[in-house]
Amino acid sequence: MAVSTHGEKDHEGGTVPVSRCSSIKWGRFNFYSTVIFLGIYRMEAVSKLNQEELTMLNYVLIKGAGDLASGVALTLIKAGFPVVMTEVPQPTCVRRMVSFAEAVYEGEITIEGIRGRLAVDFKEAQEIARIGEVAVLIDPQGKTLKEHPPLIYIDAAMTKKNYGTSMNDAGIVIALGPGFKAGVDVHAVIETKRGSSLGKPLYKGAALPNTGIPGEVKGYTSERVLRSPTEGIFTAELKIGDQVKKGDLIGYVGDQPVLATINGTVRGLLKSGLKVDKGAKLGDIHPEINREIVYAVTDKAWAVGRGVMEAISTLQKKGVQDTHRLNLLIYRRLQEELDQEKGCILYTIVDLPSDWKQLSGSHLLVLSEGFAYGTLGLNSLDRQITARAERLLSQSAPSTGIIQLQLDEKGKMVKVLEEPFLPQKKLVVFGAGHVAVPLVEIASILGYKTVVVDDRQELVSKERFPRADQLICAPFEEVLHKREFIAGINGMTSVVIVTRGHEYDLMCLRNVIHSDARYIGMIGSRRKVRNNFRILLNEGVSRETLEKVAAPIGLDLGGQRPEEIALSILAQMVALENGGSGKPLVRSIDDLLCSAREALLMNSG
Amino acid sequence: MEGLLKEVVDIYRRGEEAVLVTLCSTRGSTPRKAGAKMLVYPDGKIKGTIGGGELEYRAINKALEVMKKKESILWETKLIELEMVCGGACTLYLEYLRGKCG
Repeated sequence: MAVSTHGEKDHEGGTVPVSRCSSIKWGRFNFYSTVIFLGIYRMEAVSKLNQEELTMLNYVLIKGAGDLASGVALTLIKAGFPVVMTEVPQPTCVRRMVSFAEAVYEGEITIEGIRGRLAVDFKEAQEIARIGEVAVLIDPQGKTLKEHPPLIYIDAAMTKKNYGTSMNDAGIVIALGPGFKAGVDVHAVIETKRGSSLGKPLYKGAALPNTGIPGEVKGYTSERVLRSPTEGIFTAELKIGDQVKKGDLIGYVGDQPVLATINGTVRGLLKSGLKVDKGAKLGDIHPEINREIVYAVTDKAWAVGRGVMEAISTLQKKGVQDTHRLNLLIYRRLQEELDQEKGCILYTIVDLPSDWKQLSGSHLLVLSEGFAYGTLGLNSLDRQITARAERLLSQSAPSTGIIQLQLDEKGKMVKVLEEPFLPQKKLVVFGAGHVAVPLVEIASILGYKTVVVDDRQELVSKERFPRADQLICAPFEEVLHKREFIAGINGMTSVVIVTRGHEYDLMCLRNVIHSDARYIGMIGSRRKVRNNFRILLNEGVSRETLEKVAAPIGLDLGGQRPEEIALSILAQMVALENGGSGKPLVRSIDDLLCSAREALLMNSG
Repeated sequence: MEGLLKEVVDIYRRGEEAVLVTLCSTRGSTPRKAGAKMLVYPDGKIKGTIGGGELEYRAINKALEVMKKKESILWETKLIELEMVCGGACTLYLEYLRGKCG
């Protein structure tokens, strides 16, 4: 049974020693400044991150969302990669029905059954990418690449010139078309010129230069492309998919008409209202009457997509990703997640067949939001693991262990160490009286982050609580109504209520009883606890909820001194956390001898 | 554990080397549960613990071997072999941390 006499002596007031040497004022003002201080600390942490390298998030970033880029995005999405694309605020692609860039204008677009959506920020983009859709971000400056380095970066803007893409941008960097040197600027270049080498990944050298002459379709090349006769604002008079005859009016640039060059279907057309230069591509006409053609991803885009996939798997097998650098970043990220009181799971490849050794030691860190950093080196492994981790993170007490996964179709297996990391457990103590002092002391030895709350300035001092992580001196009522304070009471928090009076105890209990705290204990005699419980029952708190409250607090250790009471409280908390019974490990000598025989039998077998 | 992770990051930053020993799985009665970690420095000093005793002693020596070969290993051992009274088996991962490339 719990010790029922604890409270009587502890919180009847008056006898609590007053700290005379306290020069720090823990007034109301300081409570706010603590909150502000934490805010600044976070900001500093973020800016520090920006100066150095950021961990590579496990996703593919594609610069550009035109038709070729979209073909690549579709191929990657179908292979299970999370994909984010960036575009300029006014994309000028013409194959708008097969370009995710259209999401910039329309908010969303579905191509080949895959939806692409415009995201307002990176957080939203991640959420979209996570459910297997294409996220599109407006990002003309390349901010996403700098702030959220991806594992794989694809420059698919088809600028025909390298505007600063480098192999250091991501674990794997691939560019489409001419203007990039494979093995120098990027890991691989994908050939985009129609012909026998279309879609071929190059690991050395550059793609074939742009000839300026469009590829041939049904005998037409340059004739099928509409170009601007002058500089000005383009106004469309027709829509994509409309049938045209040679000479039909398609639109205007300024006041000059744009006429159809051949008979057929308008397959691509620039968004109306954009400013164009003379000679700019305004659209193209497919030399056939076929409305479906406007929704079809071209064979060229698919070929380029396949080429990107081939390059990724070749580069992953070669192990171009710098595992060492990734690992440092992973450990740092893990630390940061824990600092922010978030749980995560670290995966490490610990054993694999000899021909796959380049993946050895790779880490993948799955965060509580389901996003992952780093890579186990193969997309198939990352995908399996991320899905598994999400399930695991929703469990209350996942455990460390080794799991086996299939590496390839031949049935080769890989051993992966699975380590859940939970944030540091926290103890919130209401009341800074004599039990609180040894309580905080012992709790910090046990690894708890400790927070002490009381309104008595002379008690809430660093001198009395040298090991406390946070001291809050303010009226209980005020603290309990701070939204961020209550939000901080999560599944990793234990709450101990040991204030100077049962009316304060009641107030604290009332405000934390519906929180996610894993342990709530309240001091007091049976009589006082009973009274407080009756009040809460009358207020509509259920019996089940009250049953979870440890009151009177602690395990029966028979002690009366504050230190002994503190120990009995912590013993109860630890037992609850670990699922222990709080009883002696061995009941009798017979019990002990019997179990030793069993163990021997087990080991010899 | 908290301090140990910070130290791992610092080892990378300082460009030093060390071995991070993790108790991956345990069977039967072992001094500590899976997830326990210990850092072993090139001079044989340690930070953190995987439970002390013979197992820890052998793990430190093994870690120094890993440091020489510069290659992480998975090490399976029976505590019975190690003449520990607890009588269990465990698997350790010895991760070679190197602060500099090459």
